[in-house]
Amino acid sequence: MFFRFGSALILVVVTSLLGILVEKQNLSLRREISRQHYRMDVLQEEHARLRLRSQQLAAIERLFATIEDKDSGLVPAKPGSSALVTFRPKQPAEPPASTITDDVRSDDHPADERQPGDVDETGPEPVEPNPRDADPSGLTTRRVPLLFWQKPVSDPRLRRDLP
Amino acid sequence: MSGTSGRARIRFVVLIMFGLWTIVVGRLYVVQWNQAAELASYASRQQLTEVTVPARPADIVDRSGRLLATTIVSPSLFVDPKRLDVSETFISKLAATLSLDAEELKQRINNHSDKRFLWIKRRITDDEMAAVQLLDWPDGTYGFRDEFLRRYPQGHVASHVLGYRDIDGAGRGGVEQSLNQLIEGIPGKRTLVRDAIGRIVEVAFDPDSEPQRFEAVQLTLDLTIQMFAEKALDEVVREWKPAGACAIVMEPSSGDVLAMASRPTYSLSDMSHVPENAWRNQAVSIIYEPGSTFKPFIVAEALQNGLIKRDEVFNCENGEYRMGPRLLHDHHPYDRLSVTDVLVKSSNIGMAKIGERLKNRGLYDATLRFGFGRPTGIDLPGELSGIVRPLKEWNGYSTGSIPMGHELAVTPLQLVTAQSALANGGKLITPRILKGVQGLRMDSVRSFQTSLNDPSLAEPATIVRPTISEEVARWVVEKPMTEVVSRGTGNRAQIPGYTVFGKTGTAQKMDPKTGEYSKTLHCSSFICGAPARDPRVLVLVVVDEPKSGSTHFGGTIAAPAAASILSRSLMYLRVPPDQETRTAAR
Repeated sequence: MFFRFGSALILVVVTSLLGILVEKQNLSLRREISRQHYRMDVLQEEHARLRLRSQQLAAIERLFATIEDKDSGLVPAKPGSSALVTFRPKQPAEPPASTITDDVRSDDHPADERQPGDVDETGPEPVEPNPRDADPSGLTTRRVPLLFWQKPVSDPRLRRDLP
Repeated sequence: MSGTSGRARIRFVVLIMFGLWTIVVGRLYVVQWNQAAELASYASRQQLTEVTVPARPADIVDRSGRLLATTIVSPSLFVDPKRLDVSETFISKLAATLSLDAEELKQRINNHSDKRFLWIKRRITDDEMAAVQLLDWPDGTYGFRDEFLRRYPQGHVASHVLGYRDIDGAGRGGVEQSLNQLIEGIPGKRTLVRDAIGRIVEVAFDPDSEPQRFEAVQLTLDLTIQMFAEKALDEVVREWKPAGACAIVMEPSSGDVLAMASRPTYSLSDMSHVPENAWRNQAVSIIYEPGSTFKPFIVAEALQNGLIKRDEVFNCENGEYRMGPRLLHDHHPYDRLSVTDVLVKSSNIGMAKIGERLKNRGLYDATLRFGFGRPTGIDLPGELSGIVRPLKEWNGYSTGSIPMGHELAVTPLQLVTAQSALANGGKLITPRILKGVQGLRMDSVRSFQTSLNDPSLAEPATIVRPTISEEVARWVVEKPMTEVVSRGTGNRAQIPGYTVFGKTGTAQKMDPKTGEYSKTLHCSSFICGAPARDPRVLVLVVVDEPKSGSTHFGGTIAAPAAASILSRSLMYLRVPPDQETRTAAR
């Protein structure tokens, strides 16, 4: 009698525990799906921002400015040519003989009074970063967007596995 | 006695317990059966919240897939004015953080003090968001909501074609407005599951309720050719300081608009400084008298109807011809001109004589046949239909005026579309700006199902009607219009290596003060294309009221710009030169 009652009780408890386990697993899987959708939203946003940035950097106006810049070495091709632009590297200017042999030249032309045609031995000027490269609005910086249902970003559930 | 009393007590207890159980069972029955649906609905209302998820607007790309418009997410700041009880110093700090006017912000919050929601600033930057969060806010008084922000990486390029999306995400102008149905997508729904204290414990995703959207809407524009047009117009504006100008580049075989630029213009990346009149897309929203650019259509119609012959010679009366009460003049006196020379020299008298052969009925038919007087049907907002008066209002003046492109008004797009019909062998094709859609899925837009299944498949060109025979169209393009460029008024449009055809146009404008044709206000235009044997590209440049300089002729003002666009486009499209052999032989 006692054994039968005990067995029945254990069976009920085990079934309940299994049910709870399955339910928890179900909830966990649903959360994972939810998280994956969120991650998809985040990645989609990241993709949009990176694509925007790359297209801003490669904007046609910037490319034209480069081609039209005489110092770029790029020149428009002539009509009938198969290429659109050709690259014509700048020929290094022949240094005047005086700049090589005339040691007293520096007395005549101090460094701060260089004349056209003088050879600059200090190397090229350091290139300043182009301010147009920076997005003044700051909207293309990396950020984790909020979903429309206002889930706080600090929620550890959403933080997990984020890049 | 005691036994009887004990049994009575037991019976009483059993009865009470039975009664209690009956009440419990009865209540269970009521809750689980009678009120089941109502309570279940009440519970689901408490636990489940359905929120609308807007679809991310589709990107806009050019025909090569280069990005013209995209969407990112940006936070917007809101407050609960009823609970926001803060000092003036706080409001000043908030205003300074968000670059707002402190007084105005304070006034705005005070005016809405009985409300529970007020936008402070929409679509702020991440830095602004971080700065706002550092302020000493009272608990539960503010929040952020993510909204879509449209960005245009190409700046002012093709701004009139693209249009923009306003603060509420509605398309304004350009394809943002006309193709809004494709771009904005269909919002979806997501179900939030909350626990007993209202926290969200699950976001239930139903694949059938997700937002539906296309990934990208592809235009027929080519960004590089668009840039050629923009640059050429900048040069025209710099040199001639006109009231307005526009350029259209079209592929005559398909009706694809490869470029469409308009001046004055504005930058889509900075909408705070938009010049006056810059909103108007002059390519579709202005009308003007086409002048001599209209003459080839009349010649083609007369040839088609057999009213003139290709080798016929017209007496141009040495520059003066009386047509009823009207005395017509040519810019230069001509004696006898062939049909070709009438177009090459742009003789008004020669055209008037062709008009006399066609009569008003024939002229009217030609005008309608080439699509004038009604919108072309392009997917752009604000397209005008032009002005072609009813035939009954035409008189003897019309017989002389219409052949030289007066007494009717056209849009630049109508003119280039009609010219496409001559260039492609006589088929009038609806110009198109939408090449196709690339997408995830969007079931409700049935007309684009084919494109969805095959993103590379573009909508086919729509042929409105045949206009004239292929033979006549080819002759007009390859003979008189080619000679206009090689030895006529359009000689500034010559391009080494290519046989260019074209037609200049210089139309007087009405003086609004006198109501008569002005001697100083002109609309100069030039339409050209190449190669003449198999035209690949057509270019129209219209310059409205050029002010600086001593000339106003289309051949001087518009032709160089059109030739610049054409030559660069031909090179870019790798169209082989058709005069290479001849040039090399020389």
